[in-house]
Amino acid sequence: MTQVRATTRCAAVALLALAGLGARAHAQDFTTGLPPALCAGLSGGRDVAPSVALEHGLPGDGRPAIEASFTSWLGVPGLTTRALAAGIGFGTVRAACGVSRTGVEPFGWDAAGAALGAVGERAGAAVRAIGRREDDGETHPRAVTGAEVGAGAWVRAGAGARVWAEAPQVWTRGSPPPLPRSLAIGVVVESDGVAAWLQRTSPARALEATGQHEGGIAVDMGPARVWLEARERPLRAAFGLQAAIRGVAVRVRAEAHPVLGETVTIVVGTARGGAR
Amino acid sequence: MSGGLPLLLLSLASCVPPARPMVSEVLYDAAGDDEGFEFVELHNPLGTPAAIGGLRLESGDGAGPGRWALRWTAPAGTVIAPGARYVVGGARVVPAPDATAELGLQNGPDAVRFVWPDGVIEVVGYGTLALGEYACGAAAVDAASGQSIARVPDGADRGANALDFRAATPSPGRANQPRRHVAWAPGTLAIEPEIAPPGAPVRVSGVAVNAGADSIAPGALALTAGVRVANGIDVRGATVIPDAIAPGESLRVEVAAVAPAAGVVTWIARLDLAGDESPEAGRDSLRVRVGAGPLALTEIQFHPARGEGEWIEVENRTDSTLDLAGFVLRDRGGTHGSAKVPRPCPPGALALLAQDPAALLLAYPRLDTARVAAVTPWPSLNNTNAADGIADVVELGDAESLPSDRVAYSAAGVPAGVPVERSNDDRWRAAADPAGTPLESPRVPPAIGGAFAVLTPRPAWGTTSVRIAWALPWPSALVRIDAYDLSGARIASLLPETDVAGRGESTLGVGPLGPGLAVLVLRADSPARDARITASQVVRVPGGPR
Repeated sequence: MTQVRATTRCAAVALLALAGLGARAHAQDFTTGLPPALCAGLSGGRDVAPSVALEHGLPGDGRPAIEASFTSWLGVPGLTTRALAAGIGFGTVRAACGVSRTGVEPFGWDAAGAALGAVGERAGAAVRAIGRREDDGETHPRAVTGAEVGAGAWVRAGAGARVWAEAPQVWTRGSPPPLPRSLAIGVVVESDGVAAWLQRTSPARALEATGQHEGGIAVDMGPARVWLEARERPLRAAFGLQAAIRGVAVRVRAEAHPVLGETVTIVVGTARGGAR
Repeated sequence: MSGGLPLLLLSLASCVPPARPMVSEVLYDAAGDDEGFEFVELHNPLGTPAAIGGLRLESGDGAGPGRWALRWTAPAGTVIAPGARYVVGGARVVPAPDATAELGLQNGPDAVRFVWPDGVIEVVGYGTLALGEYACGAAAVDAASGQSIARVPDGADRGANALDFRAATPSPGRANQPRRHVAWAPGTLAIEPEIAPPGAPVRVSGVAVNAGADSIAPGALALTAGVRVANGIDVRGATVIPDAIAPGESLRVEVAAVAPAAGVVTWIARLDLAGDESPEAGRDSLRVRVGAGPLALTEIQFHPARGEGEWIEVENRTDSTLDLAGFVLRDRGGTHGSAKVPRPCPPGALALLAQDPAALLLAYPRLDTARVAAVTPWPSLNNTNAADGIADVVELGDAESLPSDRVAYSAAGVPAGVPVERSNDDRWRAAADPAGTPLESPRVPPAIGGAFAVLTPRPAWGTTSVRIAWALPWPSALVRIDAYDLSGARIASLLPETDVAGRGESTLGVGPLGPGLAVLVLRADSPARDARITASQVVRVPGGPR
């Protein structure tokens, strides 16, 4: 019965994702709806979604999972991303794959990704690869393709502390990524269900003189977890909520911007039975 | 002896014999031919008649000692009334002199003197004299041809000819310095704006000089401005000057008036002062054009970026063909040039005045060469604003030196290489087409949906700029454009706060953003800064050439 319920949940999420994506299985980049500390895996690495490996190169938690996500970027009409990701683990090996679609007139693109990693008691690492195909535009009679490869890793640094690093675009080729991403390094400390983290991202563009800092705090509240984040340049804040009910995990993250509109991410996926 | 020394001292301190008429004015160098125009004026400042029978007028040649020549002797019984003047001069002096005599005065440095029958002498010298006998104290100034030397004030006696006499406009038979007199300072009459539409408010101003001996009290002086019409003067403005003007002082005065109907008119500005002894000097005139001139400025390229040289587009607003060679192009610095070769411009047509026609035609090979005129010397136009916010002033004048059109342009916010042009709403703004529209009507900015649009949201590989357009609900606005990436981080400022027209286009350099997706955010503030519009558009910045 448990296996039937799990299968039913997977099918429901897949159908939901497909319904959201339309008749054609588009592909696009992957947003996790999670802050960097939760991507690095708190509480022993549990509940790390498959999209984390595809987006950040940080290995998932190995449980079979499927999730569908929707992101609306900066309040710009039509600038949305829809993604479908799946992950699984065999022993210490972790794997994930996914497809996404980002569409905004007069152009958009599809993306497909895969990640492969390994997780131990005290550390984990993974490699990610994303391929991208942009829509034909009036000035581009032929589609433009691009690819990027990156990696990430985390290390347990004492009781309740974890350090991670990610370099999502170590190698790129073809059409440049829509968002250039550079090396990010962070640390999270957790105690009694409360976690706090800090991450620094190095400059991603030639005209950037300094990197960017972000931090946050998360609190476990039974079947749910809530968190607050803050980022600079410009100063902006985000709120997130993650909860699991009857085997279905939901994540919602909303980030406010002083000039542009909000970035909202909604993720629905499978959850470990009754746990977060 | 006891009275002799004081008298001697008194006589040393005075050039005028006591209790006698004095030399008031001498015209020794009339403009052009002197014959018949020279005169010497005597003034009786006493309250009693002065008998001058036997008084001798002599001219002195300053080149050597003792060279005095008799020119006239007053007949017996000649009397000058109290306060009156007595003119001895040639037959062509106007008004006619009291005594006609051809004086043959030297043109300086020389002198004249009156010798009284009792031997008392009054001498007036002018110019740089080497011999002391030809002047009393320092000699008076050597007046320019056409001017006299006049005692100012009329009773002045300061002990030297240089202190008593100054160059003046000849005034035979009249006071050298009237008690009440106001005059316009020459060349100060002006009207603002120089080219006013019919019925528009204008200001007529100038510098009024109190040339009399008395102060002008507040409210005593009136200023009237009118235009000359067939049957007189059509008064267009009048005011009373509330300020006092001391003797010898000047005051800038102005009056608000209303421009008449279109055409070339003569403004008459009149200063009215009760008791003015020479009211004609209080009247001055200015010939100006009202309404649009025959040739209008329509586009100005002041900072060419393609080596085509500066150029100015003009439009013939009349119903007849105009020759561009008949017009003068002038800038704020006063440099002016004109077309040296006749260039007909048909009615309603556009034409170009160019710094370098050959280079211009190289940049715009499809131009009609018959409508491009070289102007020499070219008044080079400024590329940046001065402290007053104006980069330069371009003025077109016709053959009569009347302004036909005048534009003061600002370079602020005008992209390099883009000319400014007069749009359909008569505002000057950066051309919607960055290459300008020489010999074409202004390009109307494209209609866009919303306040902000990126016309080239996906530029080609290797392109480092995008075309944007905006349409705001105000005639002008202060806009800025910033770029953000997909994570919301601010990448760069693409357009700092710039004053722009309500509708327009521009080219933004996006190369510094690096390849990727960028969200351009336009923030526009209304002219009163009481409203703001924010709009965003997406741009896909490509990488380098493949």
